[in-house]
Order: sequence, then structure tokens, then C-alpha cells
Amino acid sequence: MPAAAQDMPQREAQLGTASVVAQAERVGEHQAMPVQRADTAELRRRAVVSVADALRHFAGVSLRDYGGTGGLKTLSVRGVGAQHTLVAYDGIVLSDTRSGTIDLSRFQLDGLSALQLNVAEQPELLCPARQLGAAVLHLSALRPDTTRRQLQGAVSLQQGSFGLWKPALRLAKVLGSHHAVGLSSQWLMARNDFPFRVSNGIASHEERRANNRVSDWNIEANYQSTGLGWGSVSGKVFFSKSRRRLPGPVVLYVNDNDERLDERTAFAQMRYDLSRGAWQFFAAARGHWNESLYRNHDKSYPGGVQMQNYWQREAYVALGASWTRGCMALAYSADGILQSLSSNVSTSTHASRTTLLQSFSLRLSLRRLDVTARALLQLHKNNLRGSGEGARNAGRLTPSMSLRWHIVEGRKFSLNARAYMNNVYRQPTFTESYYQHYGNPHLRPERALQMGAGMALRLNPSEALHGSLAADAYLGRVSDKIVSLPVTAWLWQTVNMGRVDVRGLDVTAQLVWTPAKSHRLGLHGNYTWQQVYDRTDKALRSYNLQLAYMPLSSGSVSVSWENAWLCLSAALTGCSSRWSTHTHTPTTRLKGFEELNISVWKSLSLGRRCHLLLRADLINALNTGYEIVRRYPMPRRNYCVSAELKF
Amino acid sequence: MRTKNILLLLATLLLTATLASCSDTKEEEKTDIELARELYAALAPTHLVVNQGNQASGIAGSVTALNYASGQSMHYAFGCINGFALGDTPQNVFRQGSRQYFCVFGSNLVWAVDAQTMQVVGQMKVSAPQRVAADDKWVYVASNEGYVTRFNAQTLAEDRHIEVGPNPMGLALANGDLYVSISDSYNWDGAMQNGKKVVRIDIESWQPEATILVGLNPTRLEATADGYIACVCNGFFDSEQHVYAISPDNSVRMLTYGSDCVAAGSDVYVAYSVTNWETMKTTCKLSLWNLAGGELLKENITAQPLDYSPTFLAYDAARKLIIMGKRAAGTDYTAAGSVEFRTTDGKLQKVILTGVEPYSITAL
Repeated sequence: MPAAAQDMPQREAQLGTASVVAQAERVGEHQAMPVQRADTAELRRRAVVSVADALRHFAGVSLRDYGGTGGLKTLSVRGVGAQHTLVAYDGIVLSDTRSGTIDLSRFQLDGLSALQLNVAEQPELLCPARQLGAAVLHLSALRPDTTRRQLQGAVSLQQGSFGLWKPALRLAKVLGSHHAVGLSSQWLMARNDFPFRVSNGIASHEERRANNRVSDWNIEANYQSTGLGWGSVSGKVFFSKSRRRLPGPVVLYVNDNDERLDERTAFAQMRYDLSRGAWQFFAAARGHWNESLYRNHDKSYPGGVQMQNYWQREAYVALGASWTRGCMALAYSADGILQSLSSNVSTSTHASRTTLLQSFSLRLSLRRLDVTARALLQLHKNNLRGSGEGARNAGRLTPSMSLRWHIVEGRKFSLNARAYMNNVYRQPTFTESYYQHYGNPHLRPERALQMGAGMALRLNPSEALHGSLAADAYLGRVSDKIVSLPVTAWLWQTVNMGRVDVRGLDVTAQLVWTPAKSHRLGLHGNYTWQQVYDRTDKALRSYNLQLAYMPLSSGSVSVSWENAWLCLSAALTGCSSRWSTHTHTPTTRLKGFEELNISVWKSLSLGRRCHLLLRADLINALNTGYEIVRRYPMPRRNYCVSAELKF
Repeated sequence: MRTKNILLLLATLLLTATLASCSDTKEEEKTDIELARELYAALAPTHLVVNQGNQASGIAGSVTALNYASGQSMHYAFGCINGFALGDTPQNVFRQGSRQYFCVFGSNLVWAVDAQTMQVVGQMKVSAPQRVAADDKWVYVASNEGYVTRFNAQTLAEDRHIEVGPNPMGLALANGDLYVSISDSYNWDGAMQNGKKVVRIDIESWQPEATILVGLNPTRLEATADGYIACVCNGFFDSEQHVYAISPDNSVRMLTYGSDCVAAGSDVYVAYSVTNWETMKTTCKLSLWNLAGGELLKENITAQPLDYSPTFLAYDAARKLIIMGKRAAGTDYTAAGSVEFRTTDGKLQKVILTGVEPYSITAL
């Protein structure tokens, strides 16, 4: 049944057997929504070494990267802004109430089994209401092979340029026939003192990034049960500790900085799923705590140091049910979220927000046509303890609709068309609402409207050859955009004033050829064209110009050859020129760039159950010097070697 | 047809060869720097504007040289003439004799530049320099880290430095002394209570002579011809702002509301910007005050209040012009700003484009 088929990725992610690791990449050709999914093995074939690298192989994305292993990395999808992009870890959305964005540098590719990017809608009819955002990046942790009874796991060590060391350990045990537990831990250390060039006319020179050391450690325990009569349960407990020095932007004539950020994060989450005839139920819960201690050692501050400490807490519960009868399926889910932020900063000592989300979904699966309609009701109540004014409360009902048309369905050839319309809005972050002399409690939520249509083609002319092609055109509008502006010579403040219009085209293609046993040739490419224009005010010079940091064109292409001797892959990613300001001037133009990564790897069998994977990556092989964010240089040519023993 | 094409090709080759030979002449061998220096001399600038740029967008500071009479200007004058950039987040320019001093906060330095040619003479290293002032003998630099350093104006060598208090923001020379405003403006949690003062330093002995209590968050200091000091107290930036008058005998009185001021002989022009936080609209009124008598000499100098908060307020005594810096509006704040020249009765004379965030000006 088509509706059930759409739920497949989620179910596979939940079942999570060893087959997930070998699962071929999906480019969303069967989804009503543009869904891009790639498992880690597939990403490794594209010479990818990090989550940020991986996302460059997805169409429609714009990655903001402050450079290096520890540099902040945030994701914007289809031009609507990073704060509209949700990040879910094993099916439950993460949050950062302070900045509204999730730093993707905190996730290591080695610990993930797959990445999936859903745009505008969720393929599953029954999902937590919170996931109904403009885009959701799903990160799935590695899961044990439930068909094996013995202790299983992996130990790995990665070493790279600029003092990078990354040891990791993963253990899992299947208990009985339905239960599995796992424990994993990773440690990442890097000096990150990569060289870069300071462009300053006749005084141009080479320097090394200073104060850029990073040390991240995390540990995660997982439990899952499947195949029980009373449903399936999965859960995890996670703790991470991070110490980072922040290099700041490159400043002319100065190369020192003494900012530090120490963070600790802990969360526990669980999800319960039950299927009973036409009914499906789920319940999910999450508790999250984060401590962020920022230190800026600068004699200008009292006591010679600026200290900003923040503590975020979140309690989250979600319940949902769906009912399917014939061609119709109905779903309802309700999420409750309690968030609070406290700090040592005098004007926002304790801010909190209570959110209630309810979604009503209907899907009609006719012979060749699937239609999904949703309505999401959001209610937000804000509170500020102590002096100051709480941010305004907000509520809104936002509808969305999508359809998929199976034009041709066949084993060797299939062609689908899809279209969607989605309304989303986001609450101002606590920083935008409260940060001292900058936040504005009167802000209205930022709204986004997304519309798109596309085609997806799949070709399987023979057992040895598989290909797929997907193209999507889309429009978007962000209204009441929250921006910060200088009001006086001294003071900046956040205001609702922007409007942004988006027009774009995403194309993804993949070809896999298996000419002989143990030989596999892969070709993958994606291209994105995005016109993201400021439409705030005709009187402004930025009117009708591409927004800062949004490239008009970006894309990637990768080739791989897997064989019994030595596997090879190469990937080229890049984008066109951009500007660091909304107004385009020659001095704020950032030139386009291309980055070539080359990887070789070899898997050695050490007995019946042991495998040793050796891998070497040459990153930025062309030694391209570039910036994604102005004054934050990216590393030039560097390497990474790793060994992983799996048992 | 083929013959015509061949003739056209030959003509093109001949023209290319001729142009190539022309490029061997000495005129064409001038470097970009030499050409910039010629252009600067031809411009005969009357004013130099320091543009702060925008560090968040990676825009370095710059200098716009402009000629008031012709309305022409030369952007990035410092960089073009010297071949390297001014630096990040410059704060002010100070003219003294044959030198210009550019105080560049983010880059931890103060440039000494030949006032006529804009060519760098030397640099002084100071951590977080907030303001520069100079006399014939010394160059004084206030560091945001709480001290003032004195450099020899001839050799640019550091002479002495003195602790003055947290976050000094303004400097003024009057009555043989150096006045330094202490803002404590980085101490938001402590309500800036360690500031609220102006320290008066005896230049000869380089010792504090007096501590003069003023309002919250004192920033700009302006010395009048008769030895009075106007001190702008910016409060918490979004609250009321005042101008205080300090007499030569250190007595203090609050003069009026004001967010910036500039001395004009014995008087001061005061700009008072008010923002309506509901509508986010800003208006600014200009007035003229006599500091010694505390009298309002002229109110509402412009016919209508200005619809922006000036990034700086300056006075050109030789041309009798009030000059105000203006950043580009709204989300265009990273675009080129401008300076407005007005007569002393508020009539707009000229608007000349500058770099991003014009922040200080000096007349040549």
C-alpha cells in the first residue's frame, strides 16, 4: 500500500538491523516530500569525513561553517534560514532555546548510521507535531545487529592534520530475542592551528589559526526492544562534555584571542511504538539539560574576564495515534514542551516558555495519487522571572498539504510527481527576546511559506545498473523576519522587519553500476540553484539582492570504485560567489570555491567475526583557500587516517 | 568575404601590437600605489572620514578623503595610498600639526600618518585603543583596558602610561591637562557604577590631578576655547542621555539632554537622539549651548528633527559647518554611509558618500 510504503524509512530506522548499514541511498523518489537519505557507508563512498561534509552532498542546503573541526556549523534548507531547520537525533527533535540553531559540529559521522533530510513535511503520517517544521535533519545513531547474539562492537582511532585525534569505542549486546543494549563513547581532540592567508595588500602574509583547540567527549547508552507483543521501545541516555577555545574572526594586525566555551549536555529520551490492526500509537519523552560557560579573558571587563553562563532545560512529551481504513488514514499527535533558560546575565536571569503543539493529519491514498493534509496548532506562553518584560505569547494554526502522483510504477522504471505547500513559523529565540539591550520582547514570530513541485525518476534497466534522478522547483517567502539592526551609534536591537523571497531548483542524480562481483562503481551528484532575495523595502539598497552568504549555485559530484583490492573515491563540492552583506559591494564579495576530497580504504577480514577497516582521506586536495563565513578561514589541504576494528 | 575577414584579423593584430608597445612607456609603469597617491594629491581633500566598517560582516575600517567644494571623494584612501588596510573597527582620527593619528581599536594600534600625503609615518601599539588625542609634544591614547599611554610625538616611542579606571572612552586637552572620561561601560551587571567620572591628569607630572564626578557612562569629551569641558553621558544607551559641563575649576553641572556634542569656539553643538522603542523610529534635535554660562543659544537648529541618530557630530570651524555622520538605513547598515554638511543655521549644504559606518572626521 502506498501509504505504508511511505512509512518505510522510519520503520527501517526503528528496526535498525545490520541491513541499515548496507542500505542504498534514497534520493526521495518515492516520497511526496523531497526526502534525501544517505547511510554512513554511502557517505563514506563520497569521500566524506564529517557531518558537515556529508550535508554538502544534499541538495537545497546552505551550510554556515566557521571553519575547522570545532567551528560552529549550522544548516539552512531551501533559503528559509537556519533557525527553521530542526535537527532530530534518533527521532526526537533537539533544541537550543538560546540561539535557535543546532551546532552540527557536535556530531561525529562515525557514531551515526544515516542522515536524512526531510523538507517541508514528514513522510510518516504519524509523527511528533514538533517535527512539522520547514526542514528536519534526522541523525540516526548506529544500532546493533539484532541477528547476532555475541557481544559486538568496534574500536577505532582517527588521526588527522593539526593535531586531530579521535578514539572511539562502541559495544552492543543482544539480550534474549527482543532486547539489545549498547554503549558508545567518542573523544575528539584537535589543536586546529591550520594555516591561512591574511589578505592585506602588500602586507598579505601567512598565519596560523590561534586559540582554536577543541576537546569533545561523549558517552551514550542505548536500549531497544522490538518484536514484543506490547510494542517496541527504544531509549537512550547521553552525556557530552566539550571544551573549546574560540579563535574569533581574523582581525587585521592581531592574531590572538582568549575566548573559551565549556559546555556540558545531558539528555535522556525514549520512544514507544505500538501497532494494533488499523491503529498505530506512539509516545515519546525527552529530558534535556545543557550548561554553557563562556569566558572572554579581556582586561576591558571587570576582573579581567567576561563571564556568561547559561543553563538550558527542557522537558518534552509527545503522544500520537493514527488510524488507517482503506484508502484513508488519520493521525493526531500532541506535544508538550517546557523550556527554560537561566543565566548570570542580569537582564535575562530566568526565561521560560511553555509550548503546546497539536497536529491533525489526513492522508488519502488513491490508486495513483496520495494526498496529505495537515493542520498544526501551536500555542506558546512565555514567562520571565525577575525584572523585565516577558516575550509576547503567540498562537497560530498553520495548514500544509502535499500530494504525490505515481505516473509510472514498474520494476525497471518508475516516475513520480510531487507537490507541497507548507506554512511554518518560529518563535523568537531567548537571545532575540531577552539578551541585554539587544533582545526585544515585543517580537512577533517569524513566518515562512514553502511551496514546491518535483519529479523523481528511478531506472533499474538491469540487475547491475541502477539510477535515479530527482528534480524539485520551489518557492518560499519568509515574513516578519527577525533581524538585528543598529538603532543608535551604540545600540543594536532585534526587530521584525525583513521579508525574503526564495526561488530554487534542486537536482539530485545517482548511478550505480556493478560490472562484476566485488566491483561497484558509483556516481552521485547534486546541484542547487537558489535565488534568495531581500524584499524588505524598495528604498533599501539590499532590495532584490541575494541575501548574505547564500550562493546562487552550489553542488557536488562524487565518484567511487569499490573493489576487493583498494577502494577509491573522490568528491568535488563547491559553490558560486557570495556576499557577506545583504548589500553587494566588491569588498564584501566572497569568491566561489571548489573542494576536492580523495579517499582510499580497505577492509580486511580477521577471522570470521572481525574486520579491520583502514582508511585515508585527503581533504581539500587542491589546497583551496576559502571562507564560508567571512574572516573565518577554512582549512586548506589536510589529511585524516583511521583504523576501525569491528567485531 | 574571406579576404575581408583576413584584413580584419590583420588590423586587429596590428592594433594589439600597437597597444602592447604603448604599455611599455614609463607612464604605464606606475604602480597602483603611485597612482593612488597622485589621485589623492589631485583631489586636494578638505576632510578625512574614518569609517568603522562592520566586523561581523568582515568589513575592515577605511578612510574616505573628500573635497567639500567639489563634492568628490576617494574611498579606501588609506589602503590605496599605503598598500595595506587601516585595520578593524577604527574609533577616531585626530589632527595635530603635520600628523594625523588614526586610532584602530580592533587591530590594537594607532597609525601616525603624514597629514598631507596620507602616507604612514609609523605606528603605536596599544591594546584596545579607544581614543587618540595629541599636542605638539605627546600623543595620548586611551586604552579600553583602563589606562592612558603617552607616546613621544616625534619618535612615536612609548613614554609613560597611567591607570585611570575601567573603560576610558573620551579624551580632551584643556588647561594644560588631559581629561579622560571613565565609563565602566563593560560592567553592565554592575550598572557601570565604577565609571561616572572624568579623571584630570596633569600632563607635566603625569599624575592625576582631580577626579570629577559626572553622570552614568561618560563617553565623549569636548574642550571649548575657554577651557570648559563638555562631557556626554550616555546612560544605559536606551535610557536618557545628558551633556555635563565641567568648568576649569572642576565644578560640574548638567547642561541638557544630549547624546553627542562638539565644541565650536566657546560653545557646543548638542545632538539629542531619541528612539521610540515601540515604533523603532529615531529622531534627533540639534541645539547650541554656551558651556560657561549654561545658556541655550539656539534650539532646533534644523527646521525638522533629523530622522536618524548621527554616528558622529563634528564642527568645521574654518568653514563654519556642522558635520554629521549617517549610516545607511535599516538592513542596509553594511552599505556605504554618508556625511551631511550643514550651515550653522541647520541648512543642508551637501551630502557626500563615505564607507561603511562613518565614525569620525577631521578637517585638513
